[in-house]
Amino acid sequence: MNQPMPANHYRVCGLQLASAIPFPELRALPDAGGSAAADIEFTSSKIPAPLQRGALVMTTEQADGTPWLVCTRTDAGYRFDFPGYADFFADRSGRRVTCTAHADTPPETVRHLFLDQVLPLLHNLRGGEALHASAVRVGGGICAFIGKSGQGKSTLAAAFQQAGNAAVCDDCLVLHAEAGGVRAEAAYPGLRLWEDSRDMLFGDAAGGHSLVSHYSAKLRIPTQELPEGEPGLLPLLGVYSLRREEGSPLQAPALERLSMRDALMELIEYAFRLDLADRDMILRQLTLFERIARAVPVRRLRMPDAMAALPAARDLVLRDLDHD
Amino acid sequence: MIELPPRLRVPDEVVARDLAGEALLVHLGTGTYYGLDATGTRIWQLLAEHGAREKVVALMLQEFDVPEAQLRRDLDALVAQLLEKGLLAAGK
Repeated sequence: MNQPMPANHYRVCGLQLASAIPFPELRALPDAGGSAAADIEFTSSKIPAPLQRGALVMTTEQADGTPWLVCTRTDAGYRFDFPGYADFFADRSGRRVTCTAHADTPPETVRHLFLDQVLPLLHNLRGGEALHASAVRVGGGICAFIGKSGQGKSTLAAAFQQAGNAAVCDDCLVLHAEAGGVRAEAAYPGLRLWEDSRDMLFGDAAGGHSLVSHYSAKLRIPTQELPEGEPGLLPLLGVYSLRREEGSPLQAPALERLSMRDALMELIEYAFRLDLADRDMILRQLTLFERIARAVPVRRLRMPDAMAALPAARDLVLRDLDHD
Repeated sequence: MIELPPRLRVPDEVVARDLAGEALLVHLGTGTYYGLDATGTRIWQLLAEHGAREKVVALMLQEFDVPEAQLRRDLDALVAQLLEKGLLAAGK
């Protein structure tokens, strides 16, 4: 009874989202056709879904080893528990999601957890594939940057944008196999940047950006501040796996070709995957990523640990894509 | 060193992708994946086809100029890893 009806409609991860709470991070759909047309319904509740013993599906940890996300599967659905912050429960189809947030968790943190952590995994549950990647526009296509946290994916995307290649996303790049190849789009347009990257992108006059969440110093850059608007679905041109080499004698960025086998392993490593017991998903993902590894360059981009190397990295990638 | 079974089989849940002579093995039940170089890929192909380690040793010695002791060490190390990851199982 305490669940307001979803009245806000958005497009995210290529899906239509109907939400009981507004998501200012997303562009509203003006003619959404009501909740019946929605792929995902998001509501919030003060009463958590009944606890059931479930099979552990995945866990991630914080730097100090404490649990960050604990995901379990029951007959009823999937529970995404962020201990101390919020709990999200999705039915087995991934269509209905209910969030129960802790009293002291701010709304922006709830939205961030759903948009950037839960939604890419729900998209995978619903049969979609996505890479944990930053991405930029190059010509008529999209170039993706994958790599572990802290390797500089968002900062490199910001450097591309500063030089005229629009940043598309900084966390989740949705992939679609089509007859002519593989196309990609942002889960939702926008960037999340550390302050130094923001200053590099927007200059000294930058300011007023809100924090992504209360537990991180990353700033959310509103989409209306990004040029070119909705990036849309475009051909995937290449994937670059970043390795920041701290303390290495590397003076300039360097590209390494990967064998197709290594390329495929790299893509799998940075894919959003919810349930590793879901063999259909694993096979589906393997088929798509093999197609990408065969069709577009997948390289390792070795980066010196210096902001000054970013323009050279951009030049290197553009030359590799034959867009210099 | 654990004792390795003389006969081996590829579990039904394991799929292999050959990518320009190098294989990627994937366990569909756990998501575990494992990359093989060209030599490992040939060993895998022979194990999948024949099942018997001794048969694989004999065929590899015909194909590659390698000391038998080294081949056996490399084969056993690979088989032990694949068994541990569930990408091979003891056969009948």
